[in-house]
Amino acid sequence: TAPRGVSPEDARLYAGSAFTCLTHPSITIPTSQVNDDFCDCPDGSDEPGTSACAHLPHSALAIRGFHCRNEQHTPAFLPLSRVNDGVCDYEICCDGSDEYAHVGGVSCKNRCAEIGIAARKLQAERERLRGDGVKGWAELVKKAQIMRKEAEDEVKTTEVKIEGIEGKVKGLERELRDAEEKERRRVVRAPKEGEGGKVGVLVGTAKERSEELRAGLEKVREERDAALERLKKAEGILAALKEGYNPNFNDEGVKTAVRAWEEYLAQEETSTKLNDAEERDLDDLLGEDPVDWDEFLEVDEPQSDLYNIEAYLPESIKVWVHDKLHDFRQILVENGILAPAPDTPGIESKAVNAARAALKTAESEERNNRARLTALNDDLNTAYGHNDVFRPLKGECIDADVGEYKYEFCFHGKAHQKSLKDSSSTSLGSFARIEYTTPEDVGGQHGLFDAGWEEAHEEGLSGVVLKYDNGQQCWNGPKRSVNVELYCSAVNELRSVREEEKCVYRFEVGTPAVCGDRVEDAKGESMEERVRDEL
Amino acid sequence: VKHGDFKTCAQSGFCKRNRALADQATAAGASRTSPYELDANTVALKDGVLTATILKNIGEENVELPLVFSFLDNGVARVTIDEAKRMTGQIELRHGSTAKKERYNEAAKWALVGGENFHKDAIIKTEDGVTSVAYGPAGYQVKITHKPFSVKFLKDGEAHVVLNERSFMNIEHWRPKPEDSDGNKGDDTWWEEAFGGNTDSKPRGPESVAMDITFPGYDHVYGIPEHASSLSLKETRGGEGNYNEPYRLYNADVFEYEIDSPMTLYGSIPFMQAQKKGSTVGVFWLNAAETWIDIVKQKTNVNALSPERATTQTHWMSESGLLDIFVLPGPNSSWLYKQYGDLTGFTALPAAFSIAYHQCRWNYVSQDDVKDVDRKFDKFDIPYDVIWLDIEYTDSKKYFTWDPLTFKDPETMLKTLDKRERKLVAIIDPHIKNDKNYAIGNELVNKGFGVMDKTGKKIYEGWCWPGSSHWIDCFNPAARAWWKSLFDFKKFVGSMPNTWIWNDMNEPSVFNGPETTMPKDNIHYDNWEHRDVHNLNGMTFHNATYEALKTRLGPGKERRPFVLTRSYFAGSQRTAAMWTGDNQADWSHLAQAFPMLLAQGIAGMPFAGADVGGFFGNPSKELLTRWYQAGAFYPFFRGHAHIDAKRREPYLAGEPYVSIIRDAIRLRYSLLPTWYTAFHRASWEGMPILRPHFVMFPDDEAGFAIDDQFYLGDTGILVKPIVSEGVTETSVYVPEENMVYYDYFDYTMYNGKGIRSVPAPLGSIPMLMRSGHIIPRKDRPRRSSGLMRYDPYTLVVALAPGGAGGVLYVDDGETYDNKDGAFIHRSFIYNPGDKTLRSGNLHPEPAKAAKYVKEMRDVRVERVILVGVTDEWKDKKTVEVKQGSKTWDAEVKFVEGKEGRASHVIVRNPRVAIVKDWTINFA
Repeated sequence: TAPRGVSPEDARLYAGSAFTCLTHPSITIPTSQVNDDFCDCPDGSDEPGTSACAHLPHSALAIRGFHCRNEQHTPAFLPLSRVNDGVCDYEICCDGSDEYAHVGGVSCKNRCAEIGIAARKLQAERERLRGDGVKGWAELVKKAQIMRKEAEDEVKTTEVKIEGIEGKVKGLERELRDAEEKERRRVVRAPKEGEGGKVGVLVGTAKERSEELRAGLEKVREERDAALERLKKAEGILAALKEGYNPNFNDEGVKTAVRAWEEYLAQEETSTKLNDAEERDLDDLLGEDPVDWDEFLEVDEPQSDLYNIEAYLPESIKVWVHDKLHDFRQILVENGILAPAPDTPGIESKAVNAARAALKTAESEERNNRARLTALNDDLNTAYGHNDVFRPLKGECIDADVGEYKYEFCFHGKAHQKSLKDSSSTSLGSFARIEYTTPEDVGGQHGLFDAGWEEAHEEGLSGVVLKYDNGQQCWNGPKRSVNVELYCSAVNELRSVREEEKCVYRFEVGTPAVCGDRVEDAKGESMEERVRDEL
Repeated sequence: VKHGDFKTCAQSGFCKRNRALADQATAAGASRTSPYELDANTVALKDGVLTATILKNIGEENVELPLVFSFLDNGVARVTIDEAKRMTGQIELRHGSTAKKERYNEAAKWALVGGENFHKDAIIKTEDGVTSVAYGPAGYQVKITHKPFSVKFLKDGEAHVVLNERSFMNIEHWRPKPEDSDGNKGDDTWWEEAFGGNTDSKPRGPESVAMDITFPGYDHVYGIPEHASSLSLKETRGGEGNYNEPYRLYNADVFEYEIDSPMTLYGSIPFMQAQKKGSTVGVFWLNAAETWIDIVKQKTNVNALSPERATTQTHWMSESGLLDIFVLPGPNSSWLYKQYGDLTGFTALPAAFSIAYHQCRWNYVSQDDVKDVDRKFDKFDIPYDVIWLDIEYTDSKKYFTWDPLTFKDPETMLKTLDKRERKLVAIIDPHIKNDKNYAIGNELVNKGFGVMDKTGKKIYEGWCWPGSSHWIDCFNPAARAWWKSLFDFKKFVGSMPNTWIWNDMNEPSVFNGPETTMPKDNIHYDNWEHRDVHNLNGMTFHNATYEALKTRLGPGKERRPFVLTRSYFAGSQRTAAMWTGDNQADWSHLAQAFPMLLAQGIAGMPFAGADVGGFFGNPSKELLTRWYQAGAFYPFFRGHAHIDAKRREPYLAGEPYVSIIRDAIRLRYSLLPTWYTAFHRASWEGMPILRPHFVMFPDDEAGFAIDDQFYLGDTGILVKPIVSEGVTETSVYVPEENMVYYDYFDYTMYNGKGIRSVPAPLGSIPMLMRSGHIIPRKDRPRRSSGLMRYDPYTLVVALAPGGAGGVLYVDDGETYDNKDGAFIHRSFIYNPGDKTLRSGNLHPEPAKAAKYVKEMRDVRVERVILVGVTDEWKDKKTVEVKQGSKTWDAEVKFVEGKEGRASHVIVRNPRVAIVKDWTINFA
């Protein structure tokens, strides 16, 4: 039989008339010194059944602890420091075998029967839930595949569409060029100054002026809106300061700022509110221009074709003559002999306008399609986790009321803290990335000890963490952020919210999306085995 | 620190006036005559108490100042000077104030527990204008010069303390405010003082008391905590390396305090020790008002042949109250601390758990958070005893409540902790939220238990954590009784027997008050002005909490309370532990902590610690690790962090740091038996837990200024924690020529006096064992100290040629049964003559311990290690063990020391009981 605290598998190591320290073969002691409550081996291996070697550093220990058989339940190892300390450590040793010395009169009866039943019940329930979770995960993966396929299909059709539109754009560009060319070649387009075209000039100037004013107004309004936005932001900062400042810091600068802010609030009650009526007026002014300037500007067919010599020339010569005349005129202008031609922008024929409009429409269609294509490709390239499992969850939000707040987060979206007392809402950050960590609740690593059965009622964390960052800046602290720790669950749920340190939140979220990770990690191990290991 | 928030001496009227007077007196030299004269006709001595009248001659009148001079059996003498007109109420208060007319005469009531053993056979003699009194132990004498009044305290004919040698004595007598606003008595600080937007109405006008106290031939003075300064106090009148400001005692919440400064901090103990080679004396200035102390040192040659030595001259100034000075004769530290403890009481023997490791943070935010931290400590196998809750656990900062959302079920949380014998300390502060819906707040107002404003009729309202608040006035006995009732389990629902209390902000801290505290003209119980009692305020509060906790379980079930306080006064040691307040996570604050804690120890309040890790800011992992190694030697050992700081529980540090921190905490736990024994000695003799060099070696002047290494109790363990970055070795001053010091861990030997280099890479703590000591330890780490109760001991014998000895004190660590004799007190002596280690009983009445001894009878010694054995021990295989009538053999193992290490032998499982007499014979 194995000495106290030794598992049946390890019993052979303790057979024989002498014992050799497991990792220090140079030290051999009589068997009578095994478990005699005095630590002889520097690796603790001679005292698996007492606390005599509990002082050794974890790294030096050659044994996993005190082995509790836990018949009717699962065997487990208890840290040596907990052997005979007067506490029944049922969460690990349900058989109470760790307190055989009854120090201080403690007596731990074997509770493995009841604990075993409870644990098995819990295990069955857990398995059932995990089964549902795995189903949910499989559905998500399937859905993700379909979504990917759909997206890929759309990429293809969009690409084809874009190709078609590109051709169309080219054609329209040509048409516009032709129309412009035709326009340019028209002789005596605008009346000279001092002649009968005075009204035309006036109208031209008026249109120009009107457009300038409208553009100016538009710009001013944009700047005003931007300024208001900044003011709002600044006021928000001050309001947050007043709300959140710590009077114990006793900072004169802060106190002064808070006082000044209060006075400001008292004086400035209404100033920043926008007047709706005024806004409507502005909208009208900036809307469709009621004046059809083109009607006034449309130049009738030239008064006399005589001026239009080019029109009488054959096509081939016409271009040559036009170019020569143009060059000649340039020379005259540059030498100060001829006045420059009156500039008349915006005064174009209906044909040119129509061609330009058609082109614009086509170009915009092309842009839209390209944007869609980029979006589709971006989405396809986004990391949605193993098997794209989070793809179907994108935009799905869950929340829970914790304390005086409603906490909400959306997969691949934003996280918020909303007050239940008022309507205020604080951004806790936006989704940044998925991280895969070692689930912290897996024991036995780095000499750490398992939390045990008692704390195992909750589904353990998967190690998959959704990182949300860049939330609202904290007073005296960092920008808020959230670590969304995921565990396997049949439905999406927010189990707990904790502000682990100032402005760094930790959400524990259940979702089927991580149920598959367990299946995949198990590598041949059955679910049942995994579950039992957990316990 | 914001210097502008706190007064300099020049901004504190009476300090400015008294410093000016000192400057005038110094400038005038011998030509100035102090106006104080003892009226020889009034002198009378009866039963060890001399009474007389001192006249203050100010031209037109002689102000009568009654003097009471008491002489005690143990050599302590007390000088108390009052003001006749004030005693009889013949003064008028301005502004219709309701304040009392007397000078404050109740500081003694709060601070003292003894000092009544008058030396009834004191002998008086008057000749040539000098009255001499011989009293106390042989050779003690006081010489009072009548004109001008001055007093010399002599021992064997030599003066050790002199009062008014420099004529700085000053008692500002009451006078009416001159009618004429341009009156000639136009000192702008006499009638009102404005600071930080608050005006002090000073209804009694100027009333300060001051005295110069000279220590002839004493070149070091220590004490007067709390200051972030060196242990050996610095000069304060400028010059290279000196301060320009006096040391100040005015309890205040000093935000982000700076180090190496005489600025005031949270607590004050106006007790000063002067040390010269071979002699020590002390002065206790019993005054609870704002106090400043100037220190200068004069180089003097007694004669051409003697070495140059300094005479330390001090100047004490208090804003109001009596002039009340105790002179404690020493002549060595252990006598002095006993004398001081006889006056103000000794530090309470703490509950055993409270000297183990405490885990705190502002804040553990929920009961789940608490449980999670608790679980993680176990998971990482790190022991801890106490988890703490800062202010956020309450419902909107209303004390005696729990946040209903985050602490829904505190009882279950507390039961979870109790399973491993762990405790919770929750914060409860003296500011009571001013909130109509807060029953306790309403009661405070309705019953009139709050501190009043200057009218004396309206409850004072100020700002603290809860916003608008009132302050409980614990000077009021009815208020204290009420406070006690609040701790009833039916009233403080959700608290449990393992809930203890942290009293913070009790200076009191008032966010919008002058110097972050209360206006001086506020009125307390019995119409005393806050000015008079300010430095006592914190103590009255933690005393009240202590009394409440002591009897919480009902009559006959008294337990030793644990109360942590930030503010304190002389006498606080009887009921509370303190910590050094809001320090910062940087190396300089780590280094500053030890001088502060050593000063606490020699001022009678050794249960002291600094926040491990530093309160403000984020420590690097190296700093955190070094801080844990240092903190393992704080009498009060608590990790803490500000709410804005990152989490830093020891298990978060990552390797190798977690393992090093675990080792440091485990080291503390293994030495808990010696810590507890040291606390026990402090609790009846006053010896500090951490002993500075000058206490251990009072003849070694070279070490008088050392404050970065110290000794742990009587164990001879010399520690020099590392307090700077990137260190791999350090210099330790080994003070003795003929004593070997062994490295605590590997027994490397350090021989001979001098500065020695000791390796100190990150994983190690420089720790030496002085030979000649026996150290009891418990080497098995458990989850909490309570779970170590029945674990076996290891005895480490650091051999010296003359032998070795050690002491162990054990009791249940919880109740007062020890007062009825339920304790174990053993001596361990190794006699090199017969090579025998003996366990002897130090219990004066062993029969009274029977029941407890029975409970502990199975607790044994599992190992004895003798360090420093010679090679002749090499072949020893067994030793003879005798216990009672039985004799048996125990195995021993010889381990040869190599590379400068001492050889040692290990006795394997001698199976002797800790409660019994036994011998182990190595011959």
